[in-house]
Amino acid sequence: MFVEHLPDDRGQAHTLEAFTAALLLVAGLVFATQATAVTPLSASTSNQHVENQAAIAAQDVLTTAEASGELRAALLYYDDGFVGADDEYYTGLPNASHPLHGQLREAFDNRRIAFDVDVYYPAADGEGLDRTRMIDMGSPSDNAATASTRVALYGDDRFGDSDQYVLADDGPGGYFAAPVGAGDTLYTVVEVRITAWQM
Amino acid sequence: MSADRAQTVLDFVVGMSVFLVAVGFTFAFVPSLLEPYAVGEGATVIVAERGAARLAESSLAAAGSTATLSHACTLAFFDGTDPATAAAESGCDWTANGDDLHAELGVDDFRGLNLTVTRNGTVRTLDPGGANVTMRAGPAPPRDRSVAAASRIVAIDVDPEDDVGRETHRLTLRVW
Repeated sequence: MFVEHLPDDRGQAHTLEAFTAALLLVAGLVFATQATAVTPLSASTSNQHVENQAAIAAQDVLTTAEASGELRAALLYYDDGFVGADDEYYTGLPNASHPLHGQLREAFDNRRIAFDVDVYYPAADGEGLDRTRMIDMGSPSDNAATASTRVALYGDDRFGDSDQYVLADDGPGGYFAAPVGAGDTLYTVVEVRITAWQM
Repeated sequence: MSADRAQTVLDFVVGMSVFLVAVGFTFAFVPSLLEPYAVGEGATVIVAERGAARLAESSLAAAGSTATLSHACTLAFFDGTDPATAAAESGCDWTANGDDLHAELGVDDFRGLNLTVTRNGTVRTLDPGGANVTMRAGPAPPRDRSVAAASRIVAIDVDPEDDVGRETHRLTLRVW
């Protein structure tokens, strides 16, 4: 049955070789599993589905808030810094009196998703866009998703803690955005941008 | 035993078992290496996203708006109202109610579907004068299978009488 190698007295060496070969094979496989543990399709914070869901949630928040007027109310909830904020802007979910509190909590905060809300508007000198932070939770990750919408603000819109100011009269000094031109009705058009990412 | 037989039966058994164990290990591990690239799982994700979009943007949505649900259509959908009645009374867009999600979303029967409308993590109810209608459709998702979920943030007029009582809800469609 066995092929005779004459003279051959090195059986031990052959067994050792078999063990070494098996060890190499297993080590190679283990290394390969570790190397492919995270692929573009495995569930992680950079998963495409997670990004899509964050983008859809952000867009839905903007769409529903704009339709109900709460987005405009949130933009006008400003009195030398957004009302109730520690440092002109919120660093977390705004308190319950904020118009967007419900939407943002349902969409992001309950899910432990971080988000920034930025407002872009034409600069006072007419060159480019300026940005004011409404909510800032830090720097977005590389896999953040964004959604944005534009809101027109009119001269007779009222802003402040209890709507005590009128944009056309008090806006140029007290509101963050400067008026565009000398329009009688339109004050400015701002772009609200939500950036959301998995923490 | 002759003195010049270096390879014994014992050596052969050890070598062979090591070889077989290594081969078995290889066969057990290669499928798990390829699993992340396997197709099939991705389809449920797409079905979930498209289905949730269909429900939030046309089936249950109020006229001329996305992501804002019509109170009457949502109530009738989960109520089990006849599609023809709902279309005639409230102008709803859906063709099959919550009892037959597969027909409404055009999904094959072998897939499982579960639809919930939640707020703060709990399934909410609509109140058509006394009888609460839970906004839930389809069987509970299985625990032993991979379930894909897609969510939309929607606003519902909880009380259709006044326009102010619009609340934010999460519409979630689970597919398996």
